[in-house]
Amino acid sequence: MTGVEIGLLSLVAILLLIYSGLHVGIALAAVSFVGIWILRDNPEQAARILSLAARESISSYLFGVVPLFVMMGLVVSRAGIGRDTFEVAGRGLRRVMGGLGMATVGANAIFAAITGISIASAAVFTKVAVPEMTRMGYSPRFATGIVAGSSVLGMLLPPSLLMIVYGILAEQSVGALFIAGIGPGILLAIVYCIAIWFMVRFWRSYTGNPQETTTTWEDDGAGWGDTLSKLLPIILLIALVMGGIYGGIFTPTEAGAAGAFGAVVIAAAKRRLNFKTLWQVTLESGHITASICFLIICATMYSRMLALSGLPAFLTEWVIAQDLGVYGFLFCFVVLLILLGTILDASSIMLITLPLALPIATSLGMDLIWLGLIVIIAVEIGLLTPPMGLSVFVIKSSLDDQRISLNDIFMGALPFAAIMLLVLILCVIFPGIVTGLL
Amino acid sequence: MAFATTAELRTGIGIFDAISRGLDRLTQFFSFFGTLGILGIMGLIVADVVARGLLSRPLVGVPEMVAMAILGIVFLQLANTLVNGKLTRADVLLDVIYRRSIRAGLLTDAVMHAVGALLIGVLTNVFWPLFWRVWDRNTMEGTVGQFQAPLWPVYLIVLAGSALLCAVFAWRVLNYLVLALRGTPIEGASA
Repeated sequence: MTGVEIGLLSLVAILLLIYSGLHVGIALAAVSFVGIWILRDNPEQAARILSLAARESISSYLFGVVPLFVMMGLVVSRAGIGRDTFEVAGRGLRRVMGGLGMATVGANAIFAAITGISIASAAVFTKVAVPEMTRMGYSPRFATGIVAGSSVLGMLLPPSLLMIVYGILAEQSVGALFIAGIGPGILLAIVYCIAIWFMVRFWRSYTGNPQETTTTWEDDGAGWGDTLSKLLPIILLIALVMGGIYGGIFTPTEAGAAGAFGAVVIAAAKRRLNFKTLWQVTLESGHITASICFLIICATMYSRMLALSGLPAFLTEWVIAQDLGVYGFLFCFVVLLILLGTILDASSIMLITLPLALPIATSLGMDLIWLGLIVIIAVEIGLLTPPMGLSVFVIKSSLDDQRISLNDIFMGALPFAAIMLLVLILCVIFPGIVTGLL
Repeated sequence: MAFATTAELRTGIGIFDAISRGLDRLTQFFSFFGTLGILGIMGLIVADVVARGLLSRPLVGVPEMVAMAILGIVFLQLANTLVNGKLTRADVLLDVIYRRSIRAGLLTDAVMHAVGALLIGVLTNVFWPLFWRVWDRNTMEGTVGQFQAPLWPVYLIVLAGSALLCAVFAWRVLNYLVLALRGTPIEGASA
């Protein structure tokens, strides 16, 4: 067997093993081990190459961002800041058609600017926004669909765990990726709001019968003071983190530490965090960090095996020879990502495909920051599509209402997945959306 | 239901479950220091930022310390992550198997965890001589004259953490096999 054949076989083996339920990291590492063993005909050398990857891949200052941003997001969810933001947004938009839905999107966008994981957004807003929307006459499908769709903003608006993973794999500046995410994130939020208005206006069979405009709202006496006290903490945190990175004061790692620390201070000041919950949250961040970093370690092993097999170089030559051009390549790659998104989780997809796609993109002369955002939106579409839609699963498990089925949520999320695809296409046609702020 | 955490995998055999719980405790002990590590690097970086910004005197060696700490944190936390069923995997197909036959699901899980045990075993085996080399030579991390710290503590953590991860994987294999032999899960095992 030639190296290229071994490389291709390993790819098939990894996909099969992951799908059959092997831990993703173990699948990557085990196939890499066997692959290098065959390529070099030497199991000891294979083990040594793997152990090198294990120690070198994550032992760097940059990796401090992973636990810190995860922790910041979890503390903020614990502090009830998501609920506060939703209340304020709901108050502002309650006389607009579909206003509560828009408020969910808006609050999610703001919340996303301080959390890096979509799952956190999905869990928080299922509890906060879905009961409120169904009470106002939204169909359960539409209400959960809005939450599922807007939870994606968590990964798109900085900080974002996926951007950190991409930045590490593609050796691109995480700070630059963060800033590049702002344009597409805001665009997606705006398009969602417009779509919600149109759906409520013209598609009542899907949306149910939202009654914001016909309900008489009694003034709950909440004035500017209340609004300010609910919004100020989150605005301060965003200013600290994004301002710090954008202004060049902080490296992403420092911004993560400052943000996590700031979140802890705010949550403690609001009396929503004591030492015990702080410990729980940190432990949970530790679990997420360990599983993400384990994936990165194993993906490093896999990309070293691939490099030895010669598959990336071969594939690059082959794609160039097909004369697809940048757009042809992007089209195929995005279709592949969305297909993989139906069975795998977002970070695994990036870890498997990027070692092969990045050399091709580089030789086509593509901007890797631009590519990064396209990849992230594409894999995030997978969060909403069956059978493996992580956001939808999280919504289902945080939902108290057993009458809403998994299928309902998937159907509800479908229009929003379509909108994401639209925004993805816009980002491809107008790269300025992504690179404009850089 | 899922079969991932120690409570969900209770077999009802006294000694067996006691060992499972002991292993679980050991991972909690490791994870305690991992969690402490996260709070530690947060404090360290904030202190560095403050010292640099207000006193214009950055702390020495923070990047090196964070780089080493993060490797330690991950390996301290890995075994506990597995014990809590939080190590990333796709369970779509596995769920289908479990729904058809719990026994077939348990056997599949046993095979999956055996692969994990073997692989992590291979890695642990390579970490062992690496640790001793760093120990004997007393290798330092950092730049001479500025900041230097010995590398062996991190290597020890990596070695111990992966050994524990391997042990958890291996014990889980037995655990799934025992449950598969008994056929049905213990009543209220998920509680």
